[in-house]
Amino acid sequence: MKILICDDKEDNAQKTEQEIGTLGGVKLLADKELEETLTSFLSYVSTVLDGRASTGNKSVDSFDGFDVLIVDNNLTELKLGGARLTAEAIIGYLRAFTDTPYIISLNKNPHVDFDLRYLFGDYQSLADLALNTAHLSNRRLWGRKSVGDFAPWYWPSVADAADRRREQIEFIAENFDRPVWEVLGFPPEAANYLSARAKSRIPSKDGGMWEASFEGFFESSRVLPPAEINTLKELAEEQSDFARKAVCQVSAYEIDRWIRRDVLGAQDVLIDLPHLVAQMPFLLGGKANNLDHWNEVSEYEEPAFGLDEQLFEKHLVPAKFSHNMWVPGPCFWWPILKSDAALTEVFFAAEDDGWPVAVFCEDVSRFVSVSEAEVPPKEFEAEIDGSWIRRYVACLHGYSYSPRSRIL
Amino acid sequence: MGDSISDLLRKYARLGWEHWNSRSNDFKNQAEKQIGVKIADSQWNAESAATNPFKLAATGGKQMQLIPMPCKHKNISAAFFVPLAGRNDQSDLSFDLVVLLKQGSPCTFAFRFEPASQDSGTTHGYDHMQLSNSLCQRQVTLCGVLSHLPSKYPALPIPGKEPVTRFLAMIVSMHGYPRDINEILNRAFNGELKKSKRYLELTRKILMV
Repeated sequence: MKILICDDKEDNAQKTEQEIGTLGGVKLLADKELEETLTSFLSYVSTVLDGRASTGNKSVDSFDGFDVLIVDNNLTELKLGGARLTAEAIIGYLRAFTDTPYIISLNKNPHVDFDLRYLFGDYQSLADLALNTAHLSNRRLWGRKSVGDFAPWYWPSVADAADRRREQIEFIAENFDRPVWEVLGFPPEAANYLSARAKSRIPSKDGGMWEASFEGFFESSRVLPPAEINTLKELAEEQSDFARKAVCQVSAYEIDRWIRRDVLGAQDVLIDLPHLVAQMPFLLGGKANNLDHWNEVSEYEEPAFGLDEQLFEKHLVPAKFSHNMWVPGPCFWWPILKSDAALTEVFFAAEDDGWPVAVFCEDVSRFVSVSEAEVPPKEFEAEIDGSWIRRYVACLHGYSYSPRSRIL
Repeated sequence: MGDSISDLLRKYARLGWEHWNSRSNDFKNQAEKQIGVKIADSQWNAESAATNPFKLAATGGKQMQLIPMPCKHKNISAAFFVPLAGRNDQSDLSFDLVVLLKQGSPCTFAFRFEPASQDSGTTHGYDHMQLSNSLCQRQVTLCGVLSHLPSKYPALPIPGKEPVTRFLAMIVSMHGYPRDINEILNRAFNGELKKSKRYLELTRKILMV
């Protein structure tokens, strides 16, 4: 994996590199070098958006060719003129005008480890993920198994997320003007389950949300100022390959964000495996009485993901979300599962005496026994617009959960 | 009140409060004005009203607080309930249900879910649901309600014989079965799946489906 770390201070950049460890391919861009590179890059962006340069002749490629860009939020030491610089001010341009698919904003909220509001991280950041330097040494971010350590469920495996973003961009290029609802395979019942917040992000015009296209998501993006969004759209319509790519990159970010925060986050329309098992432990068949098997479902990569194979084939295959690049793991259409009368009968027929009394803790990505844990999990009320606003955290010592008032 | 019904009412009230809390202040104020009865204005008040059945005589005129229910439908903007203590707190518990319509006049309808009457010569010697034009057996006035409603008949039999099943009958009447009641109970007992399954099984049993 190729990672570029951008920081206004060389020593901070080195510290960030140390936290990541030996993943290979880490490059630093800091101090004066970052200042000069950003000056050239932003100058190039301006000339393109002002129509003074061909979009095909890219003069700065220092941010290209990586899988992940890690940008420290505090860039105030850089002397670029104008307002003091933060990562958030330049992420939109890096998103649109470089080919590095995944962007992490670093240290935007240095005092927050777990955001209890949207189970999404910092919803105000324009990055794909907002982390603190110390988080970078966490195993979960690099695709390794978590065994009860701090490992927010809303954190992806970064390498996987970068690969999926490339696939998302290709997917959008192929389907740009088609309806999102149809292309992503939303079942008709989903309209009744989608929250008001999720619906409000769908850029519906005359045809309603069912007709809203990926193009609409781009047009309503706030990653760049509206005038620049319009300019990019015009350039793309003039068949500029570069601009079309930029449009797809921004659109992929917007759709990914919408799905993660408003569609999957609520677990009302799409539901992922741990939250599904929490509702329907009987899907584990004969293994439902063992908490270890509850936790294993998020570790399998192939169907039936540790679930009972017959139940999986009969009830889950028809409900499976088929576009894997948009979700971090296997997901299912909850409205289809809920309307499956035969599945409801399996629920009632299931012998539940031995089911563990456990809850899924969003901060450690594991089920924790309510009765056997040294410190019982804490219930909190997320700001999610949906049915499942009450969730649980193990509330690990040494980590900051915010806002604390959401813990019940 | 028994632990079981108390737990059920408290958790349902909490869910109702979450739903109510997401509505605008304008809507909440307007609803209270239309109904003419105070609506619980905090989660604590909602849970407290749910677990302390209203008893007019004993409270010395303490103000009744309606508990929001987690539902709205095509023509119904909100619904509320209040548990009422009978002569025997445990088995005589009844429930008043208030439904606020989205438009029209009158805009309020109320129903009471009552246990079988023990009075001699009664014609309502079975658990039943009736229309109502007031709350707490005519002791709390309800605004926006049709005054000449037939509040004694019809008295529809309900499949309940004690407070838990009577309450389940009431919430099924507002959420339907099986789809939404399943989710409502699962959400109310978030993290306590076995408990919600028990109540779902009981609901199936009383509905005989």
